[in-house]
Amino acid sequence: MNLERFTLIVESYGADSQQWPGDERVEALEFSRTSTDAMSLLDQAAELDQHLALFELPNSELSVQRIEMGILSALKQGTLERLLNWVLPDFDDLAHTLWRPTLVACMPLLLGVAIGLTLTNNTYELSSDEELSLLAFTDTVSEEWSNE
Amino acid sequence: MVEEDDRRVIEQVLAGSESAFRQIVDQHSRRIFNYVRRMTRNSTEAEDIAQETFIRFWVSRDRFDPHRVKLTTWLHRIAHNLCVDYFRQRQLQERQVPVQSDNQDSPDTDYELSIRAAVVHKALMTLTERQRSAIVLYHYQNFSQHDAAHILDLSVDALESLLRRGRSKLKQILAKELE
Repeated sequence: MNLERFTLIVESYGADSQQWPGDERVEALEFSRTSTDAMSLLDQAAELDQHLALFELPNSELSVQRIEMGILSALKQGTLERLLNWVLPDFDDLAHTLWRPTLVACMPLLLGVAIGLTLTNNTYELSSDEELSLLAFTDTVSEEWSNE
Repeated sequence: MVEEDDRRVIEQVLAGSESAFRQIVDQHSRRIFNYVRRMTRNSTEAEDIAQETFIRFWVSRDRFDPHRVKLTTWLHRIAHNLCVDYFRQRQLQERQVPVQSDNQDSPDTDYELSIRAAVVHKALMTLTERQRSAIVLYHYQNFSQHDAAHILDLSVDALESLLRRGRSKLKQILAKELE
């Protein structure tokens, strides 16, 4: 360590040895104890450090709350926006993206078809009395037609 | 490189967990806000930049590698880049609509600082944006040389040079203003 390097360290990092580069700290500290020039440099740097320490920020609780609220609302918006962006076709690339709104538009139709199919699959089973009366009615009708 | 709990939360964030992300916001928002607040002179804009920092982190979280860089360093780097964009935008606006006042920063914030703190802040604002970043990161945010240099995308030697020039200028200004 020499005065030139010590000056650079103190002018860059200040008077607090904890702020000095770790690999030079011990040497610089030893140097500062032996050199009067080094001590004078430390005094000057300490004065600036004290001035810098005056810049304390006020309590920023409200600001922090606003930041956090803003981020959360942006997250919610982001999900909705991502969905909309996916659905809306890219007009520069219609061929590859038009299927998305088409698919979304077809969803109610597909849903209606699915519901319809489910309902028609429910077969109504006739009781034996109903079946007999239906058969009897069919015979009468067919006889009447044949007589005509 | 990171504590075990932090590592778990970061892994969850990288996997897309919003609740883990909220935890990260909770842990780091004050520190990021303080950095931006010291870099700018407008707390409203500092809030916007801090907010944008976390949204950018979330959107491009797949670019963050926790094995290479600490989360706080990464967040400060995003915040720093947003500050640079903010200053560029303001310079452009000022070229289009020149501001007559010598104090070109919004006056809405310094009333909440003590007089001496406001003097130091004003002196900091006279530095170049890089000198100011170096001093704020090193002296106020307590980053190591390596981390501060990483945030500013500089070598440690270049950071040292920025710190020295910045401190030298501050020394001249503050010696007049505070005595």
